[in-house]
Amino acid sequence: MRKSDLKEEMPAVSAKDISFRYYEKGKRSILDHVSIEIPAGKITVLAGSSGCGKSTLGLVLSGLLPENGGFLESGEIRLFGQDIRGLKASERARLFGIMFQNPDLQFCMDSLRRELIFCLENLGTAPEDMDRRVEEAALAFKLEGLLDRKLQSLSGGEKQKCILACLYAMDTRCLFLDEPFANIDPDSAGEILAFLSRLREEGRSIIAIDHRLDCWLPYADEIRIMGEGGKILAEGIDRDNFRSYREVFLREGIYYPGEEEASIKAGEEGELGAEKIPGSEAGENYEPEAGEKAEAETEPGPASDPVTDLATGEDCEPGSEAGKKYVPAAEENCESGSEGKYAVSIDIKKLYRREEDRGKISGRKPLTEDLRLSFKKGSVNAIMGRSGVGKTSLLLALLGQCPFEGEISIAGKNLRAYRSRELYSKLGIVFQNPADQFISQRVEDEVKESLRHQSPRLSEESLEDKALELLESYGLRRFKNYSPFMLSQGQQRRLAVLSMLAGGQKILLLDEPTYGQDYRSTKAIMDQLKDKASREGLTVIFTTHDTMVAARWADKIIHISSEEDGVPEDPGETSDARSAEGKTAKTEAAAKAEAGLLEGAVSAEAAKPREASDCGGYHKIFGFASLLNPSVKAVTVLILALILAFQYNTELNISVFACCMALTLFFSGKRRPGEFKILIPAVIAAAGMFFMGLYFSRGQSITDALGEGGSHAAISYAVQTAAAGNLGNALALGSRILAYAGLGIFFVLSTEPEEFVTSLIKQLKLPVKFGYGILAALHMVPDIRREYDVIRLAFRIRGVPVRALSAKAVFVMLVNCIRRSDNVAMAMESKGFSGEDDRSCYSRPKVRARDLIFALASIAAVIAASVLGW
Amino acid sequence: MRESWKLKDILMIAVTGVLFGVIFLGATYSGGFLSGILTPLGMAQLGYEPFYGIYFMAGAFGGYVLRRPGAAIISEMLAAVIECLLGNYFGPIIILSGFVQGLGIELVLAVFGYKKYDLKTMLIASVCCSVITMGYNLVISGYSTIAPSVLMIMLIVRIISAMLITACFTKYLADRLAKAGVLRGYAVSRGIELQDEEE
Repeated sequence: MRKSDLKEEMPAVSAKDISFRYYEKGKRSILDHVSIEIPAGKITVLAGSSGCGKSTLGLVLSGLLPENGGFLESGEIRLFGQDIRGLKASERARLFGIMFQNPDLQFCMDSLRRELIFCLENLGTAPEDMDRRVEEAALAFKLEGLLDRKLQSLSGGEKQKCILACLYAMDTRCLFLDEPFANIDPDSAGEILAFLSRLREEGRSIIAIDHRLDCWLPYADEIRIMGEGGKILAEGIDRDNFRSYREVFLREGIYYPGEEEASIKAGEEGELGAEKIPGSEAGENYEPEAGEKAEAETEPGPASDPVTDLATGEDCEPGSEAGKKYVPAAEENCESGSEGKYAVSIDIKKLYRREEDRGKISGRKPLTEDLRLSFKKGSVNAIMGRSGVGKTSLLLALLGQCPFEGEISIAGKNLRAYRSRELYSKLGIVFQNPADQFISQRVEDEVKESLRHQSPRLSEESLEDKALELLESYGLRRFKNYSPFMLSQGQQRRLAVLSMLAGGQKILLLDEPTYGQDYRSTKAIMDQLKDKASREGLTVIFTTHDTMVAARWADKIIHISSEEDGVPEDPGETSDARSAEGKTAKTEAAAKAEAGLLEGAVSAEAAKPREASDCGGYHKIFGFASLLNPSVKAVTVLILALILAFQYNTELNISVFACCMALTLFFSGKRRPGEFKILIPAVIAAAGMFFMGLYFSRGQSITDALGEGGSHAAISYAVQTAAAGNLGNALALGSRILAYAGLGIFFVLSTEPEEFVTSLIKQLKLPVKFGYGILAALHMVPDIRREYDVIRLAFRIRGVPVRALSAKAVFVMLVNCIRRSDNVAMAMESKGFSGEDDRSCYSRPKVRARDLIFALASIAAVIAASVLGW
Repeated sequence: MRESWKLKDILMIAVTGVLFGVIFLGATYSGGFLSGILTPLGMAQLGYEPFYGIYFMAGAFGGYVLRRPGAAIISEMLAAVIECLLGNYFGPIIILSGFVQGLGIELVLAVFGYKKYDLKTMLIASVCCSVITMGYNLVISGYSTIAPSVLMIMLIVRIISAMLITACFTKYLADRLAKAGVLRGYAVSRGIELQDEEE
């Protein structure tokens, strides 16, 4: 495991003259004759503006591209001296591992333990070593407690750590991290940085790409700056000499660490802050830079200048020391002011997760409690807090999409009194994944649609002019003919903000608007919002993990915390968080006594199993029937069904159904009553078949009988005989459906998908790629459901009516699904999965005697019953 | 098969299969509702027929996008396996149905030598698929004992549904997706000009 024995002279990565393009006929190559060499055993950070090819470089270096798309026109890549063209996926994975930007899109399995085993299997690790290595990896990243939790229930930071644990378990020599801190809170970022520096000490090489350098400065051995086409513009930058590169940073639109550091300090140290920041007595009003201030003041804002307004300090200011109980009186005080002053005011007792069943929230643990906030018209507000504390849910609650107890009023009117159309004309939202909310196929149309929605009378030409002008101001004009889905993440977000703003709503909610953006685009977006706020009275509420963004652009920063925050975390790099708290309007839930904390932990524990069963669509199964080998079971069930297909034997069908139900009930462990709901559609289908047979059996249909009958007596006779003949057939048909369903239900309720697939691979020789492909897809189901929901919501907010099944929404969903699958496929390959035969196998489901006995006995019984004519 | 299946092909097919499965669950419920209304009339099965085009979509989509031998059958079976794992009450038998449905489309694509993928091919494939699955139903669902006139009506509804949804809608979706640039790297995108930047 340890790396001390490695020879370190060899560079980790050496690439010569790489040219890569995604489109065969595209006008430019995203990587244009790039040569790069990265030393082993160091932390190297590549910084560069959005879309300069940083991520592409990582994928090309790992060999995932061009294998998964695109064209490599020239170049040679060596990892630790070995040409990657001669390496198998599993060999590459040992040398070079990637942590992708989005932590949701890189797992194949549903729990960390299974994922780690998957990785180890890919490398061909001996099965008896696996348990030990799984434990080691979990221990190294303090993830022991999460090994068997559903990955979907983890926070972004925890998922990132899980990925690091996978790379650690695979003993990967060079780790490539693609914006690892983009959507995790500063605490988790600090923890991960600490882990990374430990990995480096063990001799591993780390390459990171990031827009932001401030947190890397203390750790990075070298920083390089990448420009357009992947060209290296500057190298050899480190914490001592970075000041001399200021110009390059600014030219490339990258955060220049020095300046940002100064502003952090300002927030952290009270006196210094007071000196630098006029009007900071309010504690929540943060004025970042002299230049910025001047800009704000010279603008003739029609509304009262938010800066000076806030500086009076009459806004709600709770007890500022952390942990102090919230003082409601202060809030009362400021609400007694003018009613129309606040765009949004929130008084929430309990806020729940969106997925909670609305009818049954009373017993659930709320995400957060006792939130009392208000947002002034024309102000820019940041909501901060650790992942999973309920920031997104709060935004959704404002849209009436998240269950809560308490009151929210928007533009002076109670949220519950709004009709949704009216509400969405006041509120707009930009979601975390901007690709969820595009309603058209061209970038230009995207903006035009919103403009048209806002002012339906405008002529087509003026719409176009206006749209192009807006696109120009967001630097998107040259992409006007693109499909919005072809843009890069950062560009998509800018487009989403732009098209939302074009819709004319007076309150704009943004969920992590600057995630994945470089400094230039962050500044472009935030400046524009700030400007709109002061000029047109737009109220902006955004969530962010980025202290800098909050400090620089927000008039007010709200830090949401939950009692869990009271638990001391790994101290790591929390300076960011602290600086924010210094000037926040703290909305702290009442400090919980130790007993209360314990209670919270217990109730969280109790909520878990429910969550687990909701997530994967399956559950742990015990009992005899579930111990049978799934493949044998499946084949048996199929054979039985085929035998029944050639029998018209009602008694046999009914007894097969009864046996299956009995087996399911008594021999497949504890059942939840709800599971048998699955019987309802089966019974309906059987009934339908029965009636069909009754009325329309071949040659005996009632209408035929009626047609033949001449006299009254003949009719009744004909009907009677037809009905009698049909009844037998109808019973046989109906009961057959029931028997099929019985077999199916027996199988479905007594089999775990994972085991079925593993056994399909082992016993029925299903190719590994298909097996794990199916599993990965299966694990995406809950995410897909959630995302479809979000898409429909986004459509409604943008004024496009959608039904449960809308072609437009399905299309957007398909786009996202394909993106998702491409990403997961690459993540799986980067973990050494190739589908070749060099994998090992942790657990090998065997065919035992009891499986064969079960199969033969049941088949024999059915054959005997049908031959003997029961 | 010239090239082996890439993991991303498999995942794409599996995920779209899941998507069709999850989203069109709503359609299946509507089918159940419709058939519930028709049950007293003895035409319950007719209630499901308009939705058959949806069941064939996975195969048609896979065959159309990947354009290689076996794509339609494998896609449809993948979707069926996933449906089974998600808890379809007919269990493993639907994998067999998936095979038959995929076969219906695959046959036609093979007859055209996996070269022609225009609307005509897709329409013929959807008709072929409807007929073959009806043959499967004759055996498995016992339709052979039902009056032929009723079966004809059902077949016609199934064919119309398949032509509209399986052929036209699937092709339209896949083409739009290719134009949106998300299917780059799949066979369907070959020959599609993607819009480039305006200088």
